Amino acid sequence: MANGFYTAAQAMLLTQRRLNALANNVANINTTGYKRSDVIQSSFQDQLSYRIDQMGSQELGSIQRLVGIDSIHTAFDQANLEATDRKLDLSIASDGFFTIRTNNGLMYTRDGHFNIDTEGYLITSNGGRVQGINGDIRLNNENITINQQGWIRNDQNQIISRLDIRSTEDITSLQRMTDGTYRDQNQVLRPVDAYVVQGMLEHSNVDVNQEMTRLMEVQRNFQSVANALKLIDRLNERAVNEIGKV
Amino acid sequence: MNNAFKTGASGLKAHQKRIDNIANNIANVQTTGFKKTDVEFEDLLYTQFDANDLSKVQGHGVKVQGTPIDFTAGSLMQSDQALDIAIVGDAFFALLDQNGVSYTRNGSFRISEENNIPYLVNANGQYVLDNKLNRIVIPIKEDRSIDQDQLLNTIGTFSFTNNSGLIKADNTSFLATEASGAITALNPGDVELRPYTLEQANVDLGKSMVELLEGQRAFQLNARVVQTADQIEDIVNNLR
Repeated sequence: MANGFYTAAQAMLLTQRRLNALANNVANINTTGYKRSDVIQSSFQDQLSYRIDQMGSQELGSIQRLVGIDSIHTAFDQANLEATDRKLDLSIASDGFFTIRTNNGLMYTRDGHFNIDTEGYLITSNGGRVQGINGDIRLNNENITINQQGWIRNDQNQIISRLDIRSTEDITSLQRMTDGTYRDQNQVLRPVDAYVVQGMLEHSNVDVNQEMTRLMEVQRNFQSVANALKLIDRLNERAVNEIGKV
Repeated sequence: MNNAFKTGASGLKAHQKRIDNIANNIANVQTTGFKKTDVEFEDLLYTQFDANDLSKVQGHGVKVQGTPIDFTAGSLMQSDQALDIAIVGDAFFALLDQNGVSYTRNGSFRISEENNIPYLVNANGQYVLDNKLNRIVIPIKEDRSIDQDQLLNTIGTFSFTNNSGLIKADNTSFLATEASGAITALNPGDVELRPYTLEQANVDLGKSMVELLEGQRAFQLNARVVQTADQIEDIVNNLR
């Protein structure tokens, strides 16, 4: 009898989660290389319903009692590139991630806003070292040219290294970490030939229109579920107070 | 539980910073030698809410990672002062005051006479230095005019391994840090010093206005998220 009550409550929790994911997308609307995440909603397994009477039980059909989160999907689709004319701003105009060596092991990112550290190595804004095919990339100064295949040349036109860009078919197995990085805990990423663009940064792929529409949708959804909950509560109230009254 | 509140607030804070930054760029559109700053965003921590599924994570908003300085050259403007000097190329003048040495691209210089010795200073009274970091005595010709050629050969210019490592001392002068790397004193003639010229701010007003509109909309959208989170709390409070 109280089934509806719990279904509505569960739906409220779920809507809250969708709002949280949406809030994170909106907050990161200007974060370089950010990829939006979407909540994929699913109903729980169908349950068979029976009516039990003196003659045995009779099948009524199937119902879904609860809704839950199936997965959080990160949308890796390509975002717009914006020209910055800075030599150490790189972006990937195809599939793939820059490889970064941090204190926590190798990380992968689409955010190509790089700098040079005191020892002359190419680093991210958090200090992780960008990896080339031969490990850390050491530059003497920022006057470098990087071609579409990721080969890095210095101002004397000598090849320094090539960017280690990796990709995979199984992109959903990457674990999302802070600062726009991903961890490859299943070791699925392999080096690929990517299309590198120098002097440009990749925007966030959050779509304002979509997020705004979803925001309205989530709010109304929450409202209607809350109303359903109230209604069920009122039914229960009647059942308790009025049935059996003389 | 209601993370959307905090996440939305982090978005508001970060975008407020961005608008502040754009405002500072626009305010300095006429400042000689001004270098504009950008705001760099980064997403915050992701937490897992299902112990069995690594993919089920929830983000917690955005933060400002840094405000990198854009060192692209500004356009050059004619002036009628002989002591207005612009650097054509990637280098800086060195300035000295009681706080030590700082570096600038603002070449609007003046004469300061102390005990009958004319020193080269900037508008704030900081001494301009030669490439050995000594104060510059302005060379005077016999007819009491300034020896322009010798002055231009005396003014020191300096370059850094990594300009991005410099930090702002004020809107037009910069301090060297560990990250900016080795300082090289350039020889006269390595970069062109052009008298009767000033370097304008590298702020593109059109681009800044577009950024301002964009920043405002992003701020608005984040405010809507906070509002929605609030309304949801309201619904919860009124369940009974």
